[in-house]
Amino acid sequence: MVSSRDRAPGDILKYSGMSVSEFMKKDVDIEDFYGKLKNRLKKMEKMGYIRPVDYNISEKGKLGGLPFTLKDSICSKNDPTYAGSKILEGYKPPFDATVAKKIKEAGGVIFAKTHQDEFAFGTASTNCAFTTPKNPWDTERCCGGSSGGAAGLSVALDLPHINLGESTGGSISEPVSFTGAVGLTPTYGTVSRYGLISFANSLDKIGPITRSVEDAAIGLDIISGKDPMDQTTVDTEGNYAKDLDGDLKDTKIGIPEGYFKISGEGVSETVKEAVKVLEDLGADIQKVELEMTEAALPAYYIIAPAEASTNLAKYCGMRYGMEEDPEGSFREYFSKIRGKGFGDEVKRRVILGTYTRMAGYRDKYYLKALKVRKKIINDFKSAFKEVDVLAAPTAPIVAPCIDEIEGMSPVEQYKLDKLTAPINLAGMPQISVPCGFHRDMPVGLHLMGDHFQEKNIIKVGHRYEKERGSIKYPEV
Amino acid sequence: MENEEIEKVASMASIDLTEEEKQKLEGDMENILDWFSRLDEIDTEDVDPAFQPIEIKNEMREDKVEKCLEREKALENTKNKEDGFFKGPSTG
Repeated sequence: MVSSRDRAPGDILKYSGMSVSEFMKKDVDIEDFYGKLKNRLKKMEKMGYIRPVDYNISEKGKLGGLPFTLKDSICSKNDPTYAGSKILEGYKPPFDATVAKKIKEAGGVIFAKTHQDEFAFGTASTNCAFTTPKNPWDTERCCGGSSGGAAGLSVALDLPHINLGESTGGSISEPVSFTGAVGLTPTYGTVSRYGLISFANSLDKIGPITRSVEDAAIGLDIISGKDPMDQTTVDTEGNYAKDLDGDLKDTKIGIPEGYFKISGEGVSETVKEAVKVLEDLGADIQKVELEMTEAALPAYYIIAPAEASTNLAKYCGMRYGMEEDPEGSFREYFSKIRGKGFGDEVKRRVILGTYTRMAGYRDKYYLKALKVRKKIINDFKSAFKEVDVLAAPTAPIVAPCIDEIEGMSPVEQYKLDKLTAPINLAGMPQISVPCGFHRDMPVGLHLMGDHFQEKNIIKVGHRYEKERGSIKYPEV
Repeated sequence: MENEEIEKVASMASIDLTEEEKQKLEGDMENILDWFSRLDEIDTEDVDPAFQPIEIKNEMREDKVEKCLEREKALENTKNKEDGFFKGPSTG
């Protein structure tokens, strides 16, 4: 593949193809750099990726003014934060999420919020109340979801930056596989979720979306760590971007064959070629069987909406977001606002989640799904006794057209999460790395690891990426 | 899930639905719940439910007063306020 440095438009040539680590090391003229960035924002907005926010340029701290974006569901002080929903339109959080605070303290600059499916309910970002991000490779196609804006921006904006996305059931991996970006979803509890507008508490994870594995690892270093504001966070060693250049001689990589059978032939073949590359690099490739693969998706679509339906109870036309004169009884007022403010998919999932937790159905649906989840976790735990990393396609198909998505039934749309739901239910780390093209659209290689074994997937991803070479990104 | 049941659940979830929305949801729910019933085939006898993906221990912190969000800041995002309080609909 040809280096993107050879063909970037003149005015940003100086910074084009520059990695995050190069930005941090080099003496960048920050005023000049942000001038170039500013010139690109209108176009990025038009493509449906971002809502710019006010920022102050700074070059202090170890990040030296590195630009960041946050998914629209991550709060940052005084910046409009809507989680893709009309019901939160106008909301300006009076506080920083822990990840936003960490970015600012390290000398990063948050310049935009990225568009997403409403409350992260979607697989194509077509459920966003404000816009639909267009795929940088083909504007008829979607960017995936729910972190679609971030996945599109990563590829379309040819200037070093880090985007923070969020994954509940695959909302980092699936969109990046559709746009040719890299997305790193850490183990549940590695990154604080304080200030994240929750979707499902036992599943939500914040992670970086970038152009390279190294950039993603740097991003994770900045945002990870224990936080007294989030009880589920744990102490991890960090240093994800350190010592990336290991060989794969002692690495065992498992191939879950079911994942390849579920995928379309073109995607499956492309990922098999990537696995061959890993084998040639010395990795020990082994077949593994994951029995619970087919059960994961229905279990996920019971658990996630059940948790979401309680989380979304707080949006009722009071305190922030959409509001009217609070007249009539509270029940009438709340129902009216929620009827107006929530989009179709949000209503569907709140109704669904309320139903599966109701007396009489709780055992059949909700508790049953949680038991299936336990079996899925055990399934992965057994696999990781044999291998260090699992490698599979990230999504079963390449990015579909926006029209196609709009014509799909809910269950058909949910099936785009088929390969990412299992590992997300298990809360295990995963990274999607672009590994080739099918029908001129990017295909993602999904590398999955055991709890807190981020270093394994980062190492394999980085080594693969080096062998693959740089990608010729489309001009946007 | 029939129309009556949709209405009951929507009322529990406090969401006003139009007739058109109710009809659409009826079809959607039938499909989705049918798809969920696949889980019935999986043997989960003696399996504990996994409420969390990893083991989480309860951690207590010292009970001391710390700085929190100021009242004016908390009230900045709404027009419905009075005497330093949020104003809401009647609970009667």
